[in-house]
Amino acid sequence: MSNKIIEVNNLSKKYELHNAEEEGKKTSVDLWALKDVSFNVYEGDSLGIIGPNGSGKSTLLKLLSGITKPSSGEIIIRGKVGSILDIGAGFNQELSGKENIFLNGQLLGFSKKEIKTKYDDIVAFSEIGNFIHEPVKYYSNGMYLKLAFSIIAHLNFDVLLFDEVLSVGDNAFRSKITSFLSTKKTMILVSHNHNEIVNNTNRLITLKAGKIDSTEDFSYFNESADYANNELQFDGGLITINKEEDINYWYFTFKTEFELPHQSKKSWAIHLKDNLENTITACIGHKDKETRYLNEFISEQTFILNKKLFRHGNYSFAFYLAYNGEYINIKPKKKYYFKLDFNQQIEGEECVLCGPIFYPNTIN
Amino acid sequence: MLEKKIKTISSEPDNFITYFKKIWDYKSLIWVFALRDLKVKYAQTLLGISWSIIQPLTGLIMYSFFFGYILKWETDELPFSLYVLSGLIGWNFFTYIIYQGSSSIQDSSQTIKKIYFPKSILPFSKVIVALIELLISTLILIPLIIYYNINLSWNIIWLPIVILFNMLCALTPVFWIAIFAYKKRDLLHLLPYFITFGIWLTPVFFSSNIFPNKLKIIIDLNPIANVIEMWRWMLFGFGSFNKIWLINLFIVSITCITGMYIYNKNEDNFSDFI
Repeated sequence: MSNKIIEVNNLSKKYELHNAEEEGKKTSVDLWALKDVSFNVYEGDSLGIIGPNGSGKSTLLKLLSGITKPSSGEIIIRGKVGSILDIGAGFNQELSGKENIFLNGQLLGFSKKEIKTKYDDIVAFSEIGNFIHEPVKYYSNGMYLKLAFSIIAHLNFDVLLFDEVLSVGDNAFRSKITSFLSTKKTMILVSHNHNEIVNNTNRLITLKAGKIDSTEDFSYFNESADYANNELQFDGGLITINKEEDINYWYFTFKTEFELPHQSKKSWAIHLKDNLENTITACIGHKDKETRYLNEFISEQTFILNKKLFRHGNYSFAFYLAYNGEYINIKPKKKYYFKLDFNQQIEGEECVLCGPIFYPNTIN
Repeated sequence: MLEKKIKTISSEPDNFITYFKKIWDYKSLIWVFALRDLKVKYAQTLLGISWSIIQPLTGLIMYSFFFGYILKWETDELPFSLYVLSGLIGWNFFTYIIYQGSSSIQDSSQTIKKIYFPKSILPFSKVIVALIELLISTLILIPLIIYYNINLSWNIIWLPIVILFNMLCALTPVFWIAIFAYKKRDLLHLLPYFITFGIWLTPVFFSSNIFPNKLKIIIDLNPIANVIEMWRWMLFGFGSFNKIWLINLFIVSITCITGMYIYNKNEDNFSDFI
C-alpha cells in the first residue's frame, strides 16, 4: 500500500455573495463552491479533476495549496505542495527571467542555494535561451508558461498541482510536459481538456456543483506487469499477448481476463502507436456475451498488421478501458512495446523481415 | 517519508504562536520581496538608486528655502536645514511604510491569489526597503554635520529604539487599515489626507515651540511627533528626554501587536476579497 500524501475530509468552502438580488432587493446569498468533498491521494498517484465551469475545481486547488481556508472540513498534507494555478503567478513583470526564477523559487519555499543548483536545468528545459536576461514583460505567453513550468518541474515538490495551464505552449513543449508528467510524481491535474486529463492520470474525479459526481480508478492498469510469456499481469486480471506471423502479416492476439468493480457495460480498445505516440490504428473489443458474471471481463481481439505498411522502428500498444461504451472515458495505462526491425538492408522488393522483436517495457 | 512535514489545513485560523513560526519559516521572503521592490522601483531609470537621495533632498531644499530662508522660522540652536533633514528622515521612513505597507496587499493581489505565504511578510518587507532608503538619506546628513560643525550626541546609542518606535508607529496603521481595507477600501482613500494633515501636527519643518502651550498636548499625544523629536534628541542631544515618549512607545507597541493579531486572524480571507 502506498503512502497517503493528501487526505481530504468533508471539505466545504462557502462564498458569500453580497450583491445578489432577490425580488429587487439586495441580499446576501451563500454559495457553496465545494460541499463535503472527501478523497485521498497516494504517493505516485496522478489524480485528474474535471467538471464544468463553476463546479469547484479551482477552489479545490486553492484550498489544497493553502491560498484560501476551508469553511469546514480539513486537508492533511504530508509533504511539500507546488502549484501552477496561473501562468507566471508571482512573476514580476519588470524583473528578468533569471531574477524571476529566484523570486518564484523562493516564493515557493526553496532556498537560494537549492535554486542555484537547479538553475541551469531550469533554463535549459524552458528553451528560453538568451531571453532569460530580459524582463519577463517582453515574453510571450508560451515563454511565460515554459519558464513557470520549468521552475515547478525542477524543484523538489512531493505533490504538484496544475490548473488549466497545460493547454498553452507549442506542441513540442506540450509533449515535453507530458513526458515530464509521466515520471513518477504525485500530482493533481485540473483541466477542461478531457484528453489531457485522461492521458496523464490514473484516477479521475468529476466535480459537479461542488460535489463529487463520480470517481474512476484506472489503476488496474497501473500495477506492475509481468512480461514473461508476453503476459501483462495486473491486479485485476491479465492481458495475454500472442504473436504470430506469416510472410505478409503479423498477428497480435490480445486476450483480456479481468475482474472489474464497476458493473457497467465495458469495452476496451487497443491503439497501435508509433514512437511519436501517434495512433496508427486501433481496434475496439467488447465484453464477451458468455461471461458468467457481470464484473467479469473476457475479451479477445486480434490485430492484423500488414508488414509492407510498416517501417522499422519502435511501436507500442496502448490499452484503454471504456465504461458504459463512452469512448471518452477510456484510459491508456500500460503500454506494450515492441520493435519492428528490418535489420537487413532492403534490396528492391525482396527483403528479409526479422520482426517484430518484442521488448516489453513500461512507460511511467 | 516519515520525516516529511505534516500540514493540516482546516477552517481554524492559526494561533499566534504557529503564526509567528510561519513568519519565521518564510523570513527569507521578507528579503526577497524587499530586494524585488528595490529592483523594480528603479528598473528602467538612468539614475537608479540615486533617486533615493533626490527625494529627501528636494524636501530639504524646499522646506529650508520657504520656512528657513523666506519665513525665517527659528529652530533654537540647530541650523534649520539640519533640523528639517533630521525630521524628514523619520517622517519619510514613517510615510513610506504606511503608503507601501497598506497598499501592499492590493499590489500583490495576483501573487496572493495564486501562492500561499503569510501576508505579514509584505509590510515587513516594506520596512526593509524603508530602512535602506533611510540609510541613504543619512548620507546627506553627513556633509551637513561637517559643514555646520555639529557634534553628535552620545544619545545615538538609542538609535535602535528610535527606529523601532518609528517602525511601530508606521506598522500600527498598516495592520489596522489592512484589517478593514481588504473588504472596503475607504480607509486607503483616507490615508493621503491623514498623512498630509499629519505633517502639520508633527514638528518636521517647524519647532514645536510655535505651538501655543495649550496646544502642545497635541505634539505630546502624537506618537510620530514623539519619534521626530526623539530623532533630534538622539542625534544631536536637541531638547530633553520626555517621559511621555516611553508611554507612547508602550501604547503603540500594544496597538501594533493587537493589530497584527487581528490581521493574522483575517489574512486567510484576503485572497477571497482582494
